[in-house]
Amino acid sequence: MSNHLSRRQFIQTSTAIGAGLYVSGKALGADVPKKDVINVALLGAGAQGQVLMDAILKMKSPGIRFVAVCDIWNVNRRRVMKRMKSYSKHYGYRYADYVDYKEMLDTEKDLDAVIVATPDFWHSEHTVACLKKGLHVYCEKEMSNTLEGAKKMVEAQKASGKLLQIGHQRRSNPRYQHCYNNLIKGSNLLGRITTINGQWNRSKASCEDIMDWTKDPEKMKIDQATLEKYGFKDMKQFRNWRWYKGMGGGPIVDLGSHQIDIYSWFLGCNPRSVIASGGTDYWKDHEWYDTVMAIYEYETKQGTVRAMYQTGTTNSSGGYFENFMGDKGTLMVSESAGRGSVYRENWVLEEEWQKWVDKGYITKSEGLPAKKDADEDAVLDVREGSYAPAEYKIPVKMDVPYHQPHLVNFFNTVRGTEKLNCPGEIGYETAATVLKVNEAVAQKKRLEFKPEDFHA
Amino acid sequence: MKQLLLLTVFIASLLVYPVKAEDPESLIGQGNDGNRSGPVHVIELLDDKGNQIRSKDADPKPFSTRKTCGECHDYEKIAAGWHFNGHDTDIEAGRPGEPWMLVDSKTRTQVPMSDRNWKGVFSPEQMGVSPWEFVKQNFSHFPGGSYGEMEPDEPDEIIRQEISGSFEINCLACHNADPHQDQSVAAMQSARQNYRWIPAVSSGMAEVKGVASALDDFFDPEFDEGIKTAYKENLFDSEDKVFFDITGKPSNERCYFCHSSQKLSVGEDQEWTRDEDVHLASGLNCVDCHRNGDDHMITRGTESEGPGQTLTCEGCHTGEHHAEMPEMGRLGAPEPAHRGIPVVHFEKLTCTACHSGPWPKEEAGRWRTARMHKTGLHGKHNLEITQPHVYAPVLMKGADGKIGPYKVLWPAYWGMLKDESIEPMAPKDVLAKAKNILGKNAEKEDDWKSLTEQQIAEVLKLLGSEDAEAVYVAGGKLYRLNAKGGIESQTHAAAEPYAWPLAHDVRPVEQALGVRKCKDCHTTDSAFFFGQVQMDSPVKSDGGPEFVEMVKLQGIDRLYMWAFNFSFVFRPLLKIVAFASCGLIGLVLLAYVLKAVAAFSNACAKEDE
Repeated sequence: MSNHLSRRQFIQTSTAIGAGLYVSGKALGADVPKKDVINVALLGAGAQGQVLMDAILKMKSPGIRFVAVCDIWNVNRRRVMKRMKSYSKHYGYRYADYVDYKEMLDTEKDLDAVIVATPDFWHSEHTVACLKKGLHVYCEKEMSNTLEGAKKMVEAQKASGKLLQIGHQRRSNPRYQHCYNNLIKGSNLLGRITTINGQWNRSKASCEDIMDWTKDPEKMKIDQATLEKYGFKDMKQFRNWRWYKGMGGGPIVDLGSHQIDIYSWFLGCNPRSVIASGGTDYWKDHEWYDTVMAIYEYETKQGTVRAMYQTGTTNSSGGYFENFMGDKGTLMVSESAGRGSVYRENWVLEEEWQKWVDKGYITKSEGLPAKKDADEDAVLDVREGSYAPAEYKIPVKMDVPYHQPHLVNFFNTVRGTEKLNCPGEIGYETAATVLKVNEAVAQKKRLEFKPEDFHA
Repeated sequence: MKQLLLLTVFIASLLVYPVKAEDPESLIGQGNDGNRSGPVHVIELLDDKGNQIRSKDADPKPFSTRKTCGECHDYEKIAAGWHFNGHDTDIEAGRPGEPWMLVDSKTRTQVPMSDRNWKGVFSPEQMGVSPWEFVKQNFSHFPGGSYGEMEPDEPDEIIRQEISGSFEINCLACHNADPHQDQSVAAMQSARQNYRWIPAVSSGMAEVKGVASALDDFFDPEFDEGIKTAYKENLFDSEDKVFFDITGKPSNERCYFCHSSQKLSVGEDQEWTRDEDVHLASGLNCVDCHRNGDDHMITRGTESEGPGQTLTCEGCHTGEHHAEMPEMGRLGAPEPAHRGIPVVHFEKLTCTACHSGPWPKEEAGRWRTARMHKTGLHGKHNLEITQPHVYAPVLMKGADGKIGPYKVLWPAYWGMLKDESIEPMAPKDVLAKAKNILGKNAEKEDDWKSLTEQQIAEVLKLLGSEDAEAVYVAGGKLYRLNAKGGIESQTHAAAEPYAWPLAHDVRPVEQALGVRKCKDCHTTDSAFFFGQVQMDSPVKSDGGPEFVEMVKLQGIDRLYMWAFNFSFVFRPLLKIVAFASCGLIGLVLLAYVLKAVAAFSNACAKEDE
């Protein structure tokens, strides 16, 4: 048994003494009704876990309390414990840290929910264990690195009756919700969508291997036995698991799953096929493909849609965005709050879109004329003339941490006031869609989807 | 059972091994054996945990003044001194001084902020400013200690303080004689929230790479490489000790960084034309008068009791000739002649009324101060910071009943009126409700974002409730909703200007008021009485800015003062007229006396016959 148990008892005991000295009702959390208290554990306190914790803390909801953190790396636990300590000091509740998730689940009797932000290959086991304990789960994407794992998660959710939200946070992003509800469904602004392209390009510098434990290896290294117990061969693999087969799915899954999820959401259906090209072209010591280009075919009610997606790890050109092209207009949207425009095809009359401007669905870009004067140097297409399409802006702001709306949705659903925007079943559909790409790359051929592929 | 045992052991350990406090009296830096040469400081550097910093440390920490200086000097005693006790509401604060300011252009707020019990200031807590926020806002000229060492209560602030460190008293800001000491550097580190690094970096002993405010909340100084300290080469001797060039008498430069003022009418390129205080020109230093002992309770120049009593104008320049020993002439102070000045002046005026600050003009000028306007930051002149608007010299009556020169500013704030007193509202609370109204395109007028009466009415409607009436104070007026939903204004005690006495720069005697006799002040248009002070306000007014005359602030009836001053037209003639009249009366009387004598003589002569 680790010495966590005795330390935990000490924390409980001394905290009990300290709590007795508090005179402030706020310190005791007495002003938060018990029904509004949600005790949360963070399982996986690495970079993404910290991002989620930060987003939750910034919700400024005193009822949501981080009472436990579990991570096999002491460095991650320390970082998170510092934040937990400051909140527990202010609100007067206890907290504890663990290495082993089973010990945490056995010991923590007052937990309500768990944020799972461990590597993909652990998602299934961790999520299933938490659901079986009767806890609600917010699990980071990708849902699992295997479909079998994802399936187990959906089954466990159904059996437990608890909530399972998958971390495709764009589903709760107010800008994306506006685009879907108002521009796609509400107004059919783009007309018939025929093509999509999306990308996430990262610079070489952003994709270098993380070697941060080398600052003080003696203190920062995880012992070999623990690493191996949890499936890692060394610290380098532990810190860079996304590149390894059997652990993650490489950039197409890491990054692409966010955006490919949007394709399916906005089109209202799952793809019928995918073809892909990729390879470990640059990062020779990585296992997964560092450059991937995939083309999906969707069959929507309006007709066929071909959706291209690429991810690169050597050049950041264009960053990340999704571009939906219809016969009347184009929607370019990105999670990056500053990017988001809608373009009216030149044959569409300005008056036709004016009513959507009046309704507040889009706003005209200030200072940009609807039509440019003819300019020989700016000829885009000899049949198009020289006109660039008129640009409109998405009028919805998103000025909170990117993951926060999705977490708000999760906790509000826990409280019974909302429904999940990305429950396990939808996460499974996306997992099925995205994981197929690596198969397509490996098989070098067009792969078909069957409808049952998207149901756990 | 196990838990009970643990609890017992824990409590017992506290009783058996009480934390042993260092006896301050035993510290070698306390007390003074009378030797006027200061000790040479070659000492160990200690970090904020009390660990020694050595030359060979791979990841050296910045030194802590609490631990390093506190090894020999009673840090807690010093921390209770005047510069560092601003947060202590139990301290008797004495005469009003320059406050800290809260200026928020969005809500058109400017309020003097202090925890000292001065009339007219608001505490940071009243304005919704936490100690952590206070230090952030006043980063540039904050001396350390006080709010900087208070433990935050908000979780986010707790975590930021762990990353940035406490803002300890920077002893070196005053006591470092090394010319490398740079408070402008201290201000920059403070702006970056590198509080832990301020003493080391501003002294020139170390460099820091990294910005604490940019590090995320999960930053772990033990493992993360976000901020790095590097000490100067050859700083440490063979015993890992460091030489500090310490002086017990800080130079004027050290005081000037926080205690400078700029007269805006002079113009930045004409600053060289301004003369320093006559005391400094005569060879004195600031600390010759403004001194303290170990307790750092610096004399402010107006003490009426205690050792500081003699370090005042009167204490040095006047006193009994025939006391046990001569009481005047300290530090070579000349005895004032005050020839021909009626004694009533010394009853009604402060010394500074005639001797200090700029010569009064028909309109009080605008000034900037180091602390309010963040001056002295080399490389960033901050000339664009002109708010709050401070006016000086304003000749007005103080709490001691005497007229003296003051610096003045007009508070502007939103508040709730309850039983004739106003509870101010924090700008963030006002903005939360009224952002859309206050954020409308506002013209800039005289540095303010202007505010219309319509806007005031709309905001007051949003802020008010059934239980409390919302009001706005600005420019010496209180604005409230009237029965028709419009705005009415009135005077109110809460709208009075905040004023603090002005004592420097003292002018030479040949430039004191009265050197040209009575007419320096006693004319019907003298600036002393009839000079104007602009009632600074963001509220748009068709008639332009409003003014108040100094005579009103002196509590004197204008007509009376005008008439009294008018009499001085005739005063030089008065003596002649008086003597002439007396002479004439005397002659008339003499004539009657002579007549009477003559009549008496005639009567006596007739009797003899």
